[in-house]
Amino acid sequence: MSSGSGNVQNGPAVSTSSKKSLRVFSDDIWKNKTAKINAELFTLTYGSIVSQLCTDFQRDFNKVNDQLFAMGYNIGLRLIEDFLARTALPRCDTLVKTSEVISKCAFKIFLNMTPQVSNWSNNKDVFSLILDENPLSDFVELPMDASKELWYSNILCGVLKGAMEMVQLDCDVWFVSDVLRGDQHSEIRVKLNRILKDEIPAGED
Amino acid sequence: MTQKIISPSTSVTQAASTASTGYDYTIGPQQTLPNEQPPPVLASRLYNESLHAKARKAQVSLSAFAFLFQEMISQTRKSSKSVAEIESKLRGLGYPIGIRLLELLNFRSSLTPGSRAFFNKASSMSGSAQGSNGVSTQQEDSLASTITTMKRRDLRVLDILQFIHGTVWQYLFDHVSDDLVKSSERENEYMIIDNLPLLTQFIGNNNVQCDSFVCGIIEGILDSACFPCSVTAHCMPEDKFDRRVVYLIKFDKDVLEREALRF
Amino acid sequence: MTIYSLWIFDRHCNCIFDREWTLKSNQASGTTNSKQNEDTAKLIYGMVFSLRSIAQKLSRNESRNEIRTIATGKYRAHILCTATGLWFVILSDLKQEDLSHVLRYIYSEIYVNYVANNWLGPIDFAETEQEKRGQGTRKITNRNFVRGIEQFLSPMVTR
Repeated sequence: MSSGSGNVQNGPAVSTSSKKSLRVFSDDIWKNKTAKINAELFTLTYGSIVSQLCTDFQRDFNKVNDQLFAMGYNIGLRLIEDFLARTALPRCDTLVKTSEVISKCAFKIFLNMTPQVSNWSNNKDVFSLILDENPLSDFVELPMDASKELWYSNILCGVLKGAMEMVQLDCDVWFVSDVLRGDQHSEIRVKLNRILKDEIPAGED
Repeated sequence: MTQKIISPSTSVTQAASTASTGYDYTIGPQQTLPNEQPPPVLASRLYNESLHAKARKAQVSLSAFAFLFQEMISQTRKSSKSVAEIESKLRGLGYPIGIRLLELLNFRSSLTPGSRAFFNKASSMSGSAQGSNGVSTQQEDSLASTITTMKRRDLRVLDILQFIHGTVWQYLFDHVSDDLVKSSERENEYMIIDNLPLLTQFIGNNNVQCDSFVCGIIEGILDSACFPCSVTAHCMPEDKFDRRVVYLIKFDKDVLEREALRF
Repeated sequence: MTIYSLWIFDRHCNCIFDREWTLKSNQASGTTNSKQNEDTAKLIYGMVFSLRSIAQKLSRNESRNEIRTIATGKYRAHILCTATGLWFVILSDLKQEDLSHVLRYIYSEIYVNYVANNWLGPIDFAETEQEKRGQGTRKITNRNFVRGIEQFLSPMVTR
């Protein structure tokens, strides 16, 4: 990855290469530096949003998926700043590091969960996040008509897409399976398309 | 599309594409037979999970919620033409939460301290099993079976308001509300006051009362407890609390009439 | 302890906030403060931009070589670059060895709270392609943000 990095001078300098320290580092942020709220209120609020969207779009679940993704994208653009402010992490050098930071740090300090990273492609440009738990979809059972089309937690994909774009990673993010649809796991797939170049002033190139 | 009825995906299988939806009282209990086709929807894990507060994920970060909440408001703004419309939509988003909370919190307050230990054992067992099979193998360990008496429904206005002011506020915002006041001018009006509203603290001053969402929750609770009313939020700064919000609850007339009956 | 000015640049190379405490507008040349600041912003951007590229070239691959401060005979520039491409720059006198904690506070407590967390205001200040690559002129105008900066930095600006 090219230039640009956060200044880690003041925050605890964490080496993203060391898995253990990233975990400890994130635990500390979650425990001591994060204001918290009842997870069920979060769950119910999200549920209320999704069900309202299903009504608004007259149960066209593809539209609901898109809308959830778009909402997530808007969130991601802003959430990344909150994330960087709290962690003071620099840009990651490789997608492997990025995946570690997403699962062990970002998911941890926002949702208090740590999805597993797995299913790497051979050239390390695609990976999966396996969600063992998901505070968005607690209490949820998909109605029959939605169970084949609706990606209930699709907002997460949008958040990841938006946040990664802001650190110059152009990615596709999508759900491949969801326990709500009867799958064994909930799996989010992340594919890096390219690394975006930092803008330079007009006339400099 | 024909209107499909949402079937509960309990252990009673949706006998593929027949009209059967769940339990049919004309037939009585059915045995589940191994089916040729896999059932369309696997029985959700949901039913194996405990509703006990301690069994569930306790918290997420406030910023995760704040982001979701603000995006919800921003979408609502985009799709609305007037402030009144935004407020009524936010209210609509809160309302179903209220309905669910009344059930959930009443259920939880019916649990005895004893059911806690009992439940912990069950959770560690089901946690390791984690199968997606619908029939709980620990039927006798269900949380409900530990309840000896369900909490009675609140019948008096003051009881239900106390419930909101205390239990609900504690649950939602981690503190009881700062005051519960009866209007001195009108019989049917009560006020719940929150000096530091948790949800809207990140939202800059504007005309839209984003606390309408909370009004919706309160209305949902009161409505489904049979206290029809309307709830509005009013920003009334006082001293150092510049975001202080007063939730004004106006009960319908028949609530007061009922209240006046002695029983 | 003296802080002279604060500059914030976004990912589109635009100056989205500037606050100058000490500079008097130059009556003789007839230019206004804002015009002056506009020019200064471009110069500061160019300086940081060039030094960053040099620093990047000087460093061995892998290890990061981020600019933190630059000193001249009379000034010191303190720089914080975030992973999202925001630059925060403070100009101070030479007594300030390191203001990175101040920059970090501005980012995490003021920028994040009042800009990133404020859905009513924009997060991206370039509204069109023409406003990218250093050609935009939009600023953070959010009152809470401006007040936050003023309250936090004013005590450090000594006359």
